[in-house]
Amino acid sequence: MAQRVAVTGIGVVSAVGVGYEPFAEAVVQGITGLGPWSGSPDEPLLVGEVVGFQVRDYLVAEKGYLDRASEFALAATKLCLDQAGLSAAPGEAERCGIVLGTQYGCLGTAANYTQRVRSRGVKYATPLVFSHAFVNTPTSLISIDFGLKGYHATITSGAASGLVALETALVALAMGHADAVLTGAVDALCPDIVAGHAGPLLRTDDPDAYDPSGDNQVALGEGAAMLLLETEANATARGAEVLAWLSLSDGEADWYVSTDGAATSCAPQALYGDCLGAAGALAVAAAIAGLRGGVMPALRGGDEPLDDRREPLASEARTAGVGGLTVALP
Amino acid sequence: MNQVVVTGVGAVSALGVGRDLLWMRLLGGQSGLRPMQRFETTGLRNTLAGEVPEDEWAPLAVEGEPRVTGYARVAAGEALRQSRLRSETVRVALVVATNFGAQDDLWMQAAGARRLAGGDYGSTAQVLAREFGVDGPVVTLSNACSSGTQAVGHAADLIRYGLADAAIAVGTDELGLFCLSGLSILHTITTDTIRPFDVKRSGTIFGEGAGAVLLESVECAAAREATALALVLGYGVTNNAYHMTAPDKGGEGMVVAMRRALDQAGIGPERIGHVNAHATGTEHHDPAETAAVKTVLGDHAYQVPVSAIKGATGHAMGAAGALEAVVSIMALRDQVVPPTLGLDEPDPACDLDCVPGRSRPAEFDVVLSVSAGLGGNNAAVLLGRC
Repeated sequence: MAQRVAVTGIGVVSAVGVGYEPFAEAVVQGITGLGPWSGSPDEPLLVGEVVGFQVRDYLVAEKGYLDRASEFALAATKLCLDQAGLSAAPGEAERCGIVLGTQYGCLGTAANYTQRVRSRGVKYATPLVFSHAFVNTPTSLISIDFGLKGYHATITSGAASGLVALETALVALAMGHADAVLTGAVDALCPDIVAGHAGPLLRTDDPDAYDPSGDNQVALGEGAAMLLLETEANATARGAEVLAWLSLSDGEADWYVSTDGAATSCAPQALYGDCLGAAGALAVAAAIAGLRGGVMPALRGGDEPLDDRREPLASEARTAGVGGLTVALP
Repeated sequence: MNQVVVTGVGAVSALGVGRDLLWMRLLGGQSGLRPMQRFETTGLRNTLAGEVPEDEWAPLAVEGEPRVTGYARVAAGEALRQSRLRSETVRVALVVATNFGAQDDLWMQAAGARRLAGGDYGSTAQVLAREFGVDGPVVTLSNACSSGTQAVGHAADLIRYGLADAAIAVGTDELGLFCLSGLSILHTITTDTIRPFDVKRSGTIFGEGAGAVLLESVECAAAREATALALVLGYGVTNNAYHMTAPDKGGEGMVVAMRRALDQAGIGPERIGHVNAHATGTEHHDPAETAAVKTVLGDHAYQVPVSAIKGATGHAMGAAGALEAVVSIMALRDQVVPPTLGLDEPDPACDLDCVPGRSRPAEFDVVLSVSAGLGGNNAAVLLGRC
């Protein structure tokens, strides 16, 4: 019963670029965005940090406070809709929804809020900060700013959050809950994430050593990827350009993108870091970039520099597998 | 489209551990609201809460396990036992819903792996998936206080879509300083007590626990000769797209969620015979929900008995919708409408047939259970009699 839906917009905030075009160029060209984390000047960690990002460049409404994850999610949504030539999701607001994945949501803000309450007492709790500390705050803010009154979900399924969010959006569209769904995932680095990460973290001493094959040191990353998904009928009715088709996997694809470093064809997170719950959504964006650019990007393993670890796709290659999803060129 | 039935339910709530205690004490008019035992309440607007009774919970607690996970584990286990489903024989999905996860356990730890594990809301689902041998989709939802209702609806969708033969839907949350301080400072918490639909209502009282519903395709249930307790007819989810903390006073988002549920169920509003309301007892929510029910049901709204169990359980946040689904399923089974504790003097602005302090026998085939939450979330699910 795998039903395909149209991808008609992509917005990305990542260490290798803000916006789909710079992200896609970096993925296809093998340009790395890894560098020292600004949050640990005394311990030089190699991460995929989003630098030089100003959220005010992407806001559609003034904000008194935003967690970094909310900033990324709002910006990626704006970029996604801009790319689709839209100011809001297409069609009736009640038929447009959002499914956003995140592993940690606004953990940085939650940490600051809780520290204040525990150290100074309940009367020092700040309502504004509290409401920006939820795991689902970014999702609500996007709905408010872009008028998405339809299907609505925040998926927080650990590192799989991004892929589960996309799968949930596909199910929602197939079950008739919406005609268009903005979907994707976000996570932002903060001290608690870095301090608590289970595996060893890569340091800046040897930046070319990063090989996300599962048993090595990890370069953490951050960012967001948002995709505008529409039913085929909705996309056709409004004459939208289809960038790719997305469906739940039928098990076959021409090549595969890893989201967790497991043995597979390519691992674009080698370029922008392991972005936690956002990894799956970024991998889908990278798969689309690879298909459209004719390149299988960031092959895993080997001692070669990253920009040599690419392989042109055969002209007949039309599909890529990402977790339980299949991306296909139109 | 696959029909979905319920073959097991489980509950942990302020009214006790287990679905039967919840149901018996609810029908008996008992309140689970008491002065908080686990927390220092200085600075909070109220010392009352719906804590899970410690004497019932302590024997089931696992050392080091966050309560949010433990409540879900116990409720899901009860639902599975009732259904007699053996997870190794069918494809099982798991949908866990939580508003605040293990936020409070999280901040009791020093910075490091244990603290971060508490910040990962998906950790409860990982524990349950291992414990119950789930081999299908595993999803954790966090849609504020509508999460529990959405979990039931999404679990049914996973079965309808063909991704699973059966699914465990769990809504779970624990009380803690993170949520209590924030909800207190937002003035969502009353200084009085919770009074759903009452003219003197002034806010809510929070609770905790977990509700679990075991769903399966009608074919799966029939093949293993399971007893179906109820049908999951349809559900709808919307967002007000209005404000992070303020409710949409017109209730339009709830209207669309209810209509979406009716559309998926393929039935008209006249089939609804009982409404399990979200009814938090806040100034703006209860009349907005009343207006929404009247918009969707029309004149039929006045013929339908309405209950709000939060008067007895407290508002169990992400668990609320799942607990209310459990109660709705038992109401369908026993053909009785549970009481609304705290409703003494009905507000004319909430002029539905709200059932006050005593349960009422009634004949009905379909229950509409409604939830809403911060961030403008709304969810509605329709449950039917088998």
